[in-house]
Amino acid sequence: MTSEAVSKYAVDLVFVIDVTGSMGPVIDEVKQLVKGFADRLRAVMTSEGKGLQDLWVRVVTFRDLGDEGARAFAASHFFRLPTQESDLREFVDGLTASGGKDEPESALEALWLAMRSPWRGVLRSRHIIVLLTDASAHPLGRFPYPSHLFQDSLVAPRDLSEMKNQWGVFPHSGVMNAQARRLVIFAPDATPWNDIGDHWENTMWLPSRAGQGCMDADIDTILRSIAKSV
Amino acid sequence: MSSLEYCEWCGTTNDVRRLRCILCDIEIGIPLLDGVHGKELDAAIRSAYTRGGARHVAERLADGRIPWRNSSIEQRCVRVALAEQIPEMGTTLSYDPDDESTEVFLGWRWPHSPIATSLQLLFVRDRKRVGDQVISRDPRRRAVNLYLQSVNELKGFQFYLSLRAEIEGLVIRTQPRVVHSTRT
Repeated sequence: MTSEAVSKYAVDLVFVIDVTGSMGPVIDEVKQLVKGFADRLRAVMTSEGKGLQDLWVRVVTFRDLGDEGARAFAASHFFRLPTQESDLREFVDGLTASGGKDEPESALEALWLAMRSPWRGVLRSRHIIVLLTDASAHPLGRFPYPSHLFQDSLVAPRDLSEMKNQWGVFPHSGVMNAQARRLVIFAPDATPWNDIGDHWENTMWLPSRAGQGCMDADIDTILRSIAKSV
Repeated sequence: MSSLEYCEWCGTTNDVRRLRCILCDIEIGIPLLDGVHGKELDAAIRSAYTRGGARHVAERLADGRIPWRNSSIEQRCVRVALAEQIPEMGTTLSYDPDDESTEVFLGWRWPHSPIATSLQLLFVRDRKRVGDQVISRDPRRRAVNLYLQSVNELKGFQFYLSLRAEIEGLVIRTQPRVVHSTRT
């Protein structure tokens, strides 16, 4: 390999999206984002000197477990892009911003659901979670995990400290591949995002304003953040 | 929406679909960081960080073009900028798998950006940290091929690295990242 060779990565990407009422503009951005997503991400990665071998995308959505019970969450399977882009678009087009009332929301349970995704174990893989919210999050343990979505709820973290350990704290790798895992958070400067953003490994936090959608998280910002995290 | 976007760094107008300025190669949308002060600078740093320009901020903090105030956004810019550079280091572990008394070498290229001033290697065996080594960057050398004299048995070993920047006497480092694992 020469010093100028471009490494190609197999990217598994999970969007964890707050779909409460105030997130309408962001959900519209995500609907735009998934059109031609593989080609656009490839272009941004190329500009960062990285190659995209292939791309799988999954979507997890959340509202408030306290208000809506198990219906607070929805999750797709992984879509292989670009071949299954129409299926991904169909799933994303079905997302509507509603409910949630006031913050906090149940983002941490959704993050756990994303962490337990069926990631691929291939060479040069990257397992990236992109979380988009404009609210703080309920502490874990306040509501029980809905059993139909959280099959392994016995090992599910009961508080943020346990969740950090499950994410991985040097030298323990946690439930994800330590080399592949990445977390990109678009969230306000509020609990628990400031703590996670500053202290979790391989995490990038882009602060937004609470209750106002996800700041200026336009498509380019999201794409660049993903590409830089690879 | 306009079909042209203005690059604040060189004044060139670019097609809105471009990711980087056609002339100066800066990511489109990163605000100008030189010659701005006070609240304007704070806003520019935040905007640059959000739009993927942490490296531009970090390089200016490191060489003094932006004054270091040890704020959380400044620390975040440096950490992210360091982390962004790890993939371009081409880390390589060399050993003879058929030789039990193999000599182990760990090599890497230093990133192009000068903000990484040292690298800490962390040695982990069976999920326990068993040692570490800090290697300072020699600006005359583009790469390092380090003989790991202390590693005489690779089985069960993991190597982590943490890139470090030193600004105004404060060391900022990335979280340790696995560079190679022989753990089964």
